[in-house]
Amino acid sequence: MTKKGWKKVGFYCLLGIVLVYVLFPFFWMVINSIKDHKDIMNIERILFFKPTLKNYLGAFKNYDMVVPIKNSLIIGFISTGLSLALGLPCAYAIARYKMDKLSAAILFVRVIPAITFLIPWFIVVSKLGITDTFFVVSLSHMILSLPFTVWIMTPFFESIPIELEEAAMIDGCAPFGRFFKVSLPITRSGIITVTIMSFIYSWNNFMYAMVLSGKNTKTVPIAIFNFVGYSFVDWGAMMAAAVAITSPILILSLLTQKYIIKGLTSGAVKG
Amino acid sequence: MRKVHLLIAICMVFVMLVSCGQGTPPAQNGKDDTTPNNSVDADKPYAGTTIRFLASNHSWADTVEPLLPEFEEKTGIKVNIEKFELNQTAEKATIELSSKNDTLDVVYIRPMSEGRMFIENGWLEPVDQYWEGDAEFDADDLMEAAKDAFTVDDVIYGAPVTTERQILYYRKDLLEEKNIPVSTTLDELYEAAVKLNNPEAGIAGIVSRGAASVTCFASYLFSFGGQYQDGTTSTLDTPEAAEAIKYYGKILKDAGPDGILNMTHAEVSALFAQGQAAMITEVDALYQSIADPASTELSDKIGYARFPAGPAGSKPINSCSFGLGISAFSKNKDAAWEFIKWSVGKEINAKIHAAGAPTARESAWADEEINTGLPAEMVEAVKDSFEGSVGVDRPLTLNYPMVRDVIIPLLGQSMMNGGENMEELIQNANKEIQAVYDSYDK
Repeated sequence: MTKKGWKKVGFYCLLGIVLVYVLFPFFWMVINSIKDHKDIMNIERILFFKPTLKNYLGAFKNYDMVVPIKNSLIIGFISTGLSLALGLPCAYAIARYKMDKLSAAILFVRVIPAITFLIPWFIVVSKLGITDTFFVVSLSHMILSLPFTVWIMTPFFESIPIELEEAAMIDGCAPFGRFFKVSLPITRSGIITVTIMSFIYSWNNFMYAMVLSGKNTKTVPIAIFNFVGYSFVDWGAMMAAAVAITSPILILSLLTQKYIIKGLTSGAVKG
Repeated sequence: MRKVHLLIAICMVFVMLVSCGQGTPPAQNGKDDTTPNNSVDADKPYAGTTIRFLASNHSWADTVEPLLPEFEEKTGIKVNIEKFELNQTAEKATIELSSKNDTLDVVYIRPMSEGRMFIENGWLEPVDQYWEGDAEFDADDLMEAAKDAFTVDDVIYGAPVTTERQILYYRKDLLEEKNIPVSTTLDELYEAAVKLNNPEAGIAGIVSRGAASVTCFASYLFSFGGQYQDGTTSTLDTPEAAEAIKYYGKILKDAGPDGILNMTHAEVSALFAQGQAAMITEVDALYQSIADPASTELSDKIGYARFPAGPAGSKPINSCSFGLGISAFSKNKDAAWEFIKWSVGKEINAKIHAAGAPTARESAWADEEINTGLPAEMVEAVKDSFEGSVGVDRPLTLNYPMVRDVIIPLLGQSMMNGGENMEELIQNANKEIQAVYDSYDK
């Protein structure tokens, strides 16, 4: 075989290993979601078993996963929406008016482990009597998503040539008009990236949701633990629920991955 | 321009306030509903009160949840139950109680795990003051060992709801095949385990926890005449305790499965349910994973017996797994007690017991009619286990994790050595544990 041929074989072997590593958990999740509990426990029936949809029915009927999914969606939308509403103008201002100290302060917030804020947060909101509300849980998710938005978006706004805005200014465009009509459309790919990343972050957040949410705002990562009982773990139903809740995120990421990669890589080094 | 800014700022504040208002559930915050309704009759002095109950995913809580409308009907008290995974409940309760949150009223507690810390920190209201002299509640009927788990300085801080005992589960068919009687002593257990061990067929003679083994080993320790501690003195170096440590390692090395060192209750029960072990010493509360027809096809081949006797007799653990406590910061303590009185009271307890939760009332275990949640043979083995059982299943210390992290590797080492050459290791471990007691408990 030629040198090029070997290279190709090597490449595909490596790709295969990476794929197995990445996809195996998904494969495991999916096949266990269609197995009976006894089959999951039986080592002889890893691949050969009688498939059943019982777990999917059980996950949604016995454990009521619909409400947590709804809660997670609401919280995800509120926190992402607020992060964008506050983060985009902030990033724009930092980029345009060179507010380096502010941006360093925001980075600092992002560096502090999120758990540090947890107890103070809980004390404040419990004294106000507003734990277990959508607003508070959403706000707590913004501790990470807001600095993230600002940090990803600042280089995007910096990369827009000032001449474009000057041209708009000559045509009579006010600062807000320049921001909404000129800068935002140009940085679309960045905005899509931060939106998706913020949403995924909120969707997966466990710690804040656990402490601040309650009966009314229980989110998906907390509800998943409902399958873990004292004497019994309902693996089948848990896997079925895991399939159901990872699918939307998976599909969303696949559809928008073009933007995510562009967004994460292009902002910083655009010449 | 300024006007625009101001307008946007006002809009934002407005949006925040609105979403905040919308999210606030009307009944969540007990404060709104605390004032008892004066217009109701004397039978329902707390009508209109809402209490918040932080519970776990556990058979007792699962059974009580659908019964709550009965309580609400009877007393007019609304119960907001929140259920989480066991460790999450403990963490959430710790955070809420440490920040003196007054919206939490009743909390589901594992007395052996976090209970002691809650009590020592003054986070729980004594409950014995409520049940004293209440003949209908009949606190004497609650197992003594279970109440002990919540007792500090003769004050009881929690109402025990469920208990568990270590028993011997065995495969009747495999024992019959080799004509081996059910072991009644630990010597017999060793012999039987070695005879039944058949690695070629993939069947271990016996299985018991190799990891997270402190509570499981306790029955062995007590039956050998050993103790984890005498007050704040570690007693793992006594000859009795040393024998137990060696025995546990030897039996699991000679007749246990491969990889035993990493097996917690989840792995050992799955192994037995899959038919890969002939015997298992586990708690009765794990019936669902070990022997329930939903988990195993071998259900009808499984037998149950009291934990075998050692030199000091058969002394299985009989511990309180869960209880209910009233938060010391609750604003609705009396209403919270009403809930405990109702749910731990005989009538509701009988319903919960019948559904399969191993409750803490002696009268429930004695009543044939309500022991329907578990196989009759198992109920016999459980009842047989009461006499001479021990209420504590682990060292009592304020820093249990540190002590646990010494005992588990010690037992693991014994499993690797097959119980040989353990003397020095035991001495060292005992010193390490003593150091923990010295710095945290004295």
